[in-house]
Amino acid sequence: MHIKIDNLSKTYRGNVHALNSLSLIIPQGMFGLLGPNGAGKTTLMRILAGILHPSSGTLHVGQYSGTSEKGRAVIKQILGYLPQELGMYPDLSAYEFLDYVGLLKGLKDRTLRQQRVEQLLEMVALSNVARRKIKTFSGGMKRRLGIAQAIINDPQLLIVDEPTAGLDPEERIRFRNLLTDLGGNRTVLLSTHIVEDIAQTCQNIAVMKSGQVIFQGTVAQMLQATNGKVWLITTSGPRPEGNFTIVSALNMGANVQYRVVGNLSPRAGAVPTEPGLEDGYVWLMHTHQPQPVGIQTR
Amino acid sequence: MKTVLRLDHLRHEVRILGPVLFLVPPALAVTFAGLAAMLFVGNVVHSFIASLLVAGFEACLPLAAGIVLSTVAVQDASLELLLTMPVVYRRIAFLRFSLILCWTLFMELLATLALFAFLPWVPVKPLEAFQLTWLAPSLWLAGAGILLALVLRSRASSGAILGCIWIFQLTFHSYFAQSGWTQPWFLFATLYTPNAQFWLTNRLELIATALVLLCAAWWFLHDPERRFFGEDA
Amino acid sequence: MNIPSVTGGALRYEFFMQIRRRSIWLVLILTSILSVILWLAFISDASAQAVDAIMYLAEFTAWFLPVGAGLVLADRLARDKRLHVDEILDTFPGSLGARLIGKYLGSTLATLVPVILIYMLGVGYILARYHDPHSLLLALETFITIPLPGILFAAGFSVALPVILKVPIYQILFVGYWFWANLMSPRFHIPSLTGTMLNATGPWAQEAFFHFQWVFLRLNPTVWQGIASIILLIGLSFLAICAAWLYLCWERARR
Repeated sequence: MHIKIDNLSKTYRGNVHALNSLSLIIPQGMFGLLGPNGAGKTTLMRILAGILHPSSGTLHVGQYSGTSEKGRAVIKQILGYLPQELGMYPDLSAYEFLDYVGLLKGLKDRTLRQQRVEQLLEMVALSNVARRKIKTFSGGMKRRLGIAQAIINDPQLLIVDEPTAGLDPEERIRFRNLLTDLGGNRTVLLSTHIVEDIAQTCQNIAVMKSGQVIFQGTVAQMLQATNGKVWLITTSGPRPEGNFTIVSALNMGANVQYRVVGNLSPRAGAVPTEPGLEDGYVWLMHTHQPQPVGIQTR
Repeated sequence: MKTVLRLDHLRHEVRILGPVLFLVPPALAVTFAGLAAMLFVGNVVHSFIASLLVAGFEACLPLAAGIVLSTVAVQDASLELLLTMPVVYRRIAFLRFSLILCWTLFMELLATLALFAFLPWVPVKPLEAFQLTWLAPSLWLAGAGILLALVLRSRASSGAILGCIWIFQLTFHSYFAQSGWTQPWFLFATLYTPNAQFWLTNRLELIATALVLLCAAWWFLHDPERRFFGEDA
Repeated sequence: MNIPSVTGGALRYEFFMQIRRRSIWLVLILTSILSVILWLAFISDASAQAVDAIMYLAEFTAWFLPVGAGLVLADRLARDKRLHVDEILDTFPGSLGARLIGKYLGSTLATLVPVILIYMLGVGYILARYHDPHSLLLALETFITIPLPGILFAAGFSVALPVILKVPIYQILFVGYWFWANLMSPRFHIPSLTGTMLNATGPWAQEAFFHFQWVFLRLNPTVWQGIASIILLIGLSFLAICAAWLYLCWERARR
């Protein structure tokens, strides 16, 4: 199932343009969504999830229109959603919460639903705390429970917004592997700031800025566009300056090695290096300016 | 299976609402019963004890229902998740409202039956008509509390308006009873004017208005985006 | 960090946050509409003077607007917990007591703004109708001595008590309390605080300073008793804030 978005716009009260004529095609499989804070990623996800209505534009999830009430109702049947700010009822246990969500998602048979809940609790390593109240959970445990509720109905479309926030490295790896397993024959839209998560799981990505898509393609295409733009500058002197962004600085005792992204004029100590996804992201942010919105007056 | 499913859903909603909200109506009923007992032992005139108990039915329990429901209407820890569920959110919301309201009405009904059984000199109306004493203001304050909370997006503000209307009507009951434009929404007709000609009309008008308020709340909830921007902090 | 600067900072920001809430204005305007309708009915008599109009204005303001003001303030501390702001604030060097006083003063002052504006509209109407410039001074004096102490009293308890009570429970109890303690007629034969100095609608000040009898009480207080009632109401509100502060300190120590 793929998602087709055409000229989608969303304007909040106070003339805040969260999305500006955004067009995007999200194919089946794992799809990464990158962008700075305020780019409109969460707004886009909430529109896809049917919480918000777009101000204009069209959206199709498979054959279903996401801009009509009927279409949204059908999409919710096949949707799994993990929001950025995950709110759960603190006095319910993990088991009760999953059972409740399963019920709301249409898992009518009690026995099957309970089996599914137990299976998921096992999958996210919460079986031994299944009967504890959620208010006693750590942030990482809550996030794992959130992931479990998102996939309880075996959704065809899974939207996860900052899913690994608050997870330790081991949990992040486990979660990434889980997402990759899920991504086979469904569409998984993953929005995150953690570039490594996207690099490890997604073939296709989009980068958003100021409510628009400034890049859509494969990870390889993004890296190709960044070829020749990433340098290592080793210097014992002051911090290098120029038309570039310093991505990292490594103190090596006598010298400091800077990793920079940008157009570099030839200089001593500058060595070109293979770009990574983070470099590609920085290069995009550096070079792309989104199209201005039509003039709005108050 | 449908019954099992409904019972499972109800069980979860009761757990989510929590025991405190369900304890409020019986706690109030017991408090009034205790106060009445104290006055009885203190040899206070029976008509005042009767007024106190009628006030409990007509004034206090309905106010509690209205304020509790205004809180339930606007607070939901898992709102963003629930708005993405196949079950339409307003059905979930109204199920919760119904649970609280039906529980409150049930407590009032039980208290009425106890009153008629043990203190038959208290009620100023026959059993069938006396039900309207608590039913009409309970439904009205419930509908007003829910709609105010949804529109204002604030439980404190909706509770404030309900409280002000309540105090106002108690303090200026004679004005409300005498003015043509205030009679349809006079909440305490049994307490102050039990034998007035307009009593039955007043009760039915309150119930009709309550249904309109509840329908307005139902309509308000049809748009998830309107509900999404949670409580006004 | 010194206490005055913490209090001042908290006061400033609580004021700005509270005054922006549309629902505060809506609640107080709706409450005042009900008061105004009744006030106009009381002064519709041709024999009513400007003094009577001012006194009834102050009296009805004191009866109802503190309820609205108190109830909209009931969620201030609960809000900090809900938004997890309390966790961040607890790590700051400023004292909890200073922050709490700042919160009380800031949010109360913000809630007073619509009250004062509504009151001034009433005074404006009286000036236009009676053309008596002395009404202005009387209006100021009556506002400070009759409704203001009641508003501070209601605000203090509304900020403090939700520390131990859930907000809807507090609201139910507060509404019942306000009627029982301030507006319950003695003919109900139920002991109440209506005739005592704890009556927050200002009957002691009203009779002591302005010799204007309250609706169903005859108190005949002296000026000193009027002053004592004001001090008692304001003092109790600060006591409530202190009690909330002590409770929060104890709760923090337990964690």
